[in-house]
Amino acid sequence: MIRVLIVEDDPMTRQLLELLISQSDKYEEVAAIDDAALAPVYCLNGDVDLILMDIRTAMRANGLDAAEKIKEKYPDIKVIICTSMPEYSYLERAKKIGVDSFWYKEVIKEDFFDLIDRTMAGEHIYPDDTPELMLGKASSKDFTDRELEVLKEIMNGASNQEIAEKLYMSVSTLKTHLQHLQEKTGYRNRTELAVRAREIGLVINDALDEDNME
Amino acid sequence: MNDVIHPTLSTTGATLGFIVSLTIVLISITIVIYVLMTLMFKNVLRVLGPLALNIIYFQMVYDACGYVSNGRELRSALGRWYVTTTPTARIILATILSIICIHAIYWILKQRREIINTFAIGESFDNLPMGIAFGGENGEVYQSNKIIESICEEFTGEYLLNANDFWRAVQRHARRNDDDITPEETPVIKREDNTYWLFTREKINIGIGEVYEYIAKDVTDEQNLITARNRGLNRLRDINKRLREYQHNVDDTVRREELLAAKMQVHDNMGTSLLTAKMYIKSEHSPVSASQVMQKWRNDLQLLYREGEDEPADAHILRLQDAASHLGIKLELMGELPKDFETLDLVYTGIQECMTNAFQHAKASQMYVAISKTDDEYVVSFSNNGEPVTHPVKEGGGLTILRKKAEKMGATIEYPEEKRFKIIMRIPFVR
Repeated sequence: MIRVLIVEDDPMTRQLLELLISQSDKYEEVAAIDDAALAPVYCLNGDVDLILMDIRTAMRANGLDAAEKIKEKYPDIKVIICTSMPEYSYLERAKKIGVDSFWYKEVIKEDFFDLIDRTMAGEHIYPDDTPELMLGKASSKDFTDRELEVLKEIMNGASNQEIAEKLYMSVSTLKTHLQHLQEKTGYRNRTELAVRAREIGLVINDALDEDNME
Repeated sequence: MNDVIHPTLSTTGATLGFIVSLTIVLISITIVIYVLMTLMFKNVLRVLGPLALNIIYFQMVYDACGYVSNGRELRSALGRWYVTTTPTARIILATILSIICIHAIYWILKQRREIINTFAIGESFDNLPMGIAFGGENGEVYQSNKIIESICEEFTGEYLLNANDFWRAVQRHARRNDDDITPEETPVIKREDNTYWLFTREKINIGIGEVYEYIAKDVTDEQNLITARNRGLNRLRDINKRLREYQHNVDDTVRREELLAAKMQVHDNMGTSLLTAKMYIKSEHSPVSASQVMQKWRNDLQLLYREGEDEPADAHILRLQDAASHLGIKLELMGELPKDFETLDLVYTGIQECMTNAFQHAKASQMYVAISKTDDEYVVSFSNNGEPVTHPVKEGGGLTILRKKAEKMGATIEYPEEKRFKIIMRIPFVR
């Protein structure tokens, strides 16, 4: 039997995953937890073969950070990221960490067991791209990578000077990016931009939560 | 005595005209010489030259007047020439010299305005838009203007007699100032008339020694701009803070919105179920079966049941106890977990780390966490019943990360020299 740890903070989704696992005769549930920071603890006694990991979990713990720790210490444990957050950088980071598969809970129609079977067989299954979202008048595909980086930083509430320094650009270049973002979306100011972008999950500044996972 | 010239002017009027024109000529020549001396020799000759010439000319006037009025003998050559010349020539000479004289007077007055003396310095100081004073090491005041004197009276109730006392008064006022913009050396002070003044004191070398220069500058406009900017910055900080909080809370908000949507869905489903049940009961040939009606009610009731489920109050403890239990460790927690998220998160991380340690190194079956509070901090101790530990405790990766995280919050970590592994963490209350 393949032993599965479910890390999901939404009770309905967690129960759904538990239900699916319980219906299988190949997989068994080790535990279903809502806090990704505790996932490495569950791996300590070698009970876990596969983790279904959400990204935004209880106690502001980030599933990608937990996955990174687990992959570092226990590379044989398979990790599938299961998220409904279309944050543009998650996909890239998951690949970098060495996460085995990536599943957008709401958009991928593939069979759940097919996904985990293939992952357990050693395949890496990733969606081609992040889901397309609308931010104001603009589609998420309309933004450049640099604009998305700027958008992510303004979530932090940093000043123009601070953002410019962090992204290695001049303040005037930053202002140009901000102006383009506002023109594309039709939003009046940076606060509205930041709030709406976060609401739809296009950008999430995980730096704010980094301390929680250290 | 044969060369003596006898008077040619016999009338009183002519005598008077002669004396006046002679005087004008003499004064004019004196001034011209004065001007020339000023231009050529500046200091000593400027005074002595005209003085000597004046004595000579005084002698000439005396000579000519004595000759004209009393018939006295003419002794000087110039006096003799002047008396013997024609009246027209005298008038022309007098006119030319008068014009030269007027120009000379104008030039002298102009020169006087341009000459800087003590009074001129004092006057120009008073016209400055700022307060200024110069003082010595011991506080003696060398020069000051009205503005700085009035400020001194406002601050000390006394005239500006000692510059050091004045500067002490400035610094006293700076400390009393409500605004947080008063660095020690360049304080900005709000005066009684609600204007803001910037004060500076600087030691300068003036060639003959060092003096202190005191300057008071009206910076009310700049201060108002700074106040407005600070107000804006505070608003911005507030918005940024709320934005960060929003970032943390948005997941909960979205989840609550989803729950609300689900509740609305349940409400709609209940309506459908009621209609379906009514249709089934009333109609003999109902298109829906009894099992379908039952299934609908079951689904609705299940959703209703889950709707009321909230996260238990002790969710954090249960979460940690479940994790410990998975490792075969019983976690005992004494005291209450902190409410503030940052502190809770640090304690939570401490428990995770000690749990890992209790399992991997101490092979413990029990773990103890005791949380207490003093007046200004939480004191949290983590221990277990596992194998004894050797001191000093070597920090590994996890404990080092825990320490760094604790230090960021101003908390401390210590390892008491006890038989079994123990950590004591002191976390100051978050203000």
